[in-house]
Amino acid sequence: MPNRTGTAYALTTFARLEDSADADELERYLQELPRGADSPFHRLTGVHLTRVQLFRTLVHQGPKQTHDDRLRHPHLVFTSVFDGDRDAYLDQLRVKVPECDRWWGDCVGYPGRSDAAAFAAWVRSLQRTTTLFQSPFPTATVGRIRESVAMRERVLDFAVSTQGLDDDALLRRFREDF
Amino acid sequence: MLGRPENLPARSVEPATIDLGDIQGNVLRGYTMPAAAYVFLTIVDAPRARALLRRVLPLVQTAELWDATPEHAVNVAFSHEGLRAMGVTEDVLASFPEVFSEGIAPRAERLGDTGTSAPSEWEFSDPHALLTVCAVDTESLESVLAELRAFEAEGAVEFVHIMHTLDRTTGHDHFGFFDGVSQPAIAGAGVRSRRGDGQPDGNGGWREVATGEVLLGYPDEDGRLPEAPAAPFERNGTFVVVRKLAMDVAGFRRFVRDAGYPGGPDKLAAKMVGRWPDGTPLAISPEAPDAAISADPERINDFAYDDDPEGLRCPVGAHVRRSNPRDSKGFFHGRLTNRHRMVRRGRSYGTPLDEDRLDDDGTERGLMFVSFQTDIWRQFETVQALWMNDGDPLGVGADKDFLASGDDDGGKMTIPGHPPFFLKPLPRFVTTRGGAYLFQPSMSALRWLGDLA
Repeated sequence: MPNRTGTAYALTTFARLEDSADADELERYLQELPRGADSPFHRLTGVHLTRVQLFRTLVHQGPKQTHDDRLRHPHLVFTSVFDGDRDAYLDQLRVKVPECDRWWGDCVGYPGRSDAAAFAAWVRSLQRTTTLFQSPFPTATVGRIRESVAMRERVLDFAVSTQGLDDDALLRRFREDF
Repeated sequence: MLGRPENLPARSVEPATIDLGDIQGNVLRGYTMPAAAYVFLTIVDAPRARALLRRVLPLVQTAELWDATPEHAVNVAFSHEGLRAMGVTEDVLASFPEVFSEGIAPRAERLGDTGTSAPSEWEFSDPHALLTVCAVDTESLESVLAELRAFEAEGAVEFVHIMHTLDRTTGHDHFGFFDGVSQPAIAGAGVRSRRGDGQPDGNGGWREVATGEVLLGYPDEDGRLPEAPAAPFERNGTFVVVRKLAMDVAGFRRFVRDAGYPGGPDKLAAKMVGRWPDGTPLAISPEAPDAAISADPERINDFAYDDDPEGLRCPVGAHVRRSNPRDSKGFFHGRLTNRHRMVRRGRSYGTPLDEDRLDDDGTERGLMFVSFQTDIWRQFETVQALWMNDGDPLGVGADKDFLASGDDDGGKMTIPGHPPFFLKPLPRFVTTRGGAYLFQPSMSALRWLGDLA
């Protein structure tokens, strides 16, 4: 099914900038958004990946491409992969990420975040079907992936600390640690 | 053949198809002169600096073939601020890519230059200009340096940092490995490439790298002209990355001795690097060095990784495999790698640590890393930040380059096998001591700079 692989949903939106918008300034703002634990998307639950970026020109695809693809207007491209339902995600976004007003505020028709129904309807109106969507973890939730990563680190630390032990000692250590 | 390792003789000559006389030397063919110094400087007085440049111009070597090795060769590169200090107008300066105008120091975090490698600890960063001086002997080198010092006394420039390098006769770095083996053969450069120098051609052979990957003004691997600054800098110039990298040789030796690798310290070091000390690639000879391979210039670099996807011969995370993954899984049979090649012209500095010594002797030694490319972000930064410091593109997760990506926060390397062997945590064998993003203009652009009013 488009937009969904396993339990993950892929949201892809394109929003045209107003002619009066300062694309350079918006691009600078996007580049300076905090990452990691300080990222606005860190406040959301169940998010695998989110990107917000400005498309101004399309990348040349190599020698076989004979014509350049040029955009007449810059577009704000917002993509996100998350667990569960799209509309619940949009509501999380509206409530927990006021930064939305900055990056979508320069886009045609943005209604703001105060009206939940208008916000969700506007974002949905920008949505394009995600036709190329692959996930390395198609059925795992973000929580499950985090647990697995933590387990991997635990196993790795165990492997490092037990390198060279004979079978009996290795088994004993395994039983102690796990 | 001055300073050239015996197992890497000069490539044979063929007709060049690009304007060698307008290209500064050391880009298309590496100098093998044994004596060299890097002179980093600040421009104090623009008119005097331009006069200095006009006087230095006759010493600047081009890429044209030499009938005989000259006594010395000088090459000149400028940072963005250096071009401004020389009097280049703001509209021309604005045409340079942002990564270059920003300079290397602000980009330290993405390059892994943190902790003891952070710019706050550096001896220099993004100076106005770099004069690279190479010479047939120390005496000749010192005579050129004395001439340059006279310019400093005249108030044209101020030397920020001068670094002498080592004779490269053996071609080995301080860790004991034959270095600089893998260089891209550049189309049109006028030298016949050896097997393995260029790009995999998809049919088991090799082809030359497009000129525009290294020189502005020529088509690149994408079939288009690389993005270039405005005239007169749009053709025959190249961007230069310089990094002074101190190497903890005693620490490296102790580490491989104490790691407990079942194959022993020498094999562990080879697994970390991806080659044996004599240059034999692990991809061809994983169990022992093979002089028949390392002594043959047509074989030492003629290998691929597609038949070793798990890294059982050459670990996926080995230094040479990370920095040039060739046709490794995920690199689209080499097509992705082709857009990230660069010419390296580094030289070692500092006297070697006595063989077998395991404690530090207090002498600083290392490598002056120098690379030429047309796109600093796509080429140098991608290799350093995304391939060496990050394992995801290679499918090895949080593993890092265990030779060159020292990290004060940890890091790991996996040596595939049955069972695999893990190295953790990652010590810091290499510490960054300085760096610069520079532009090495064409000869005609250099003359234009010297004549600016």
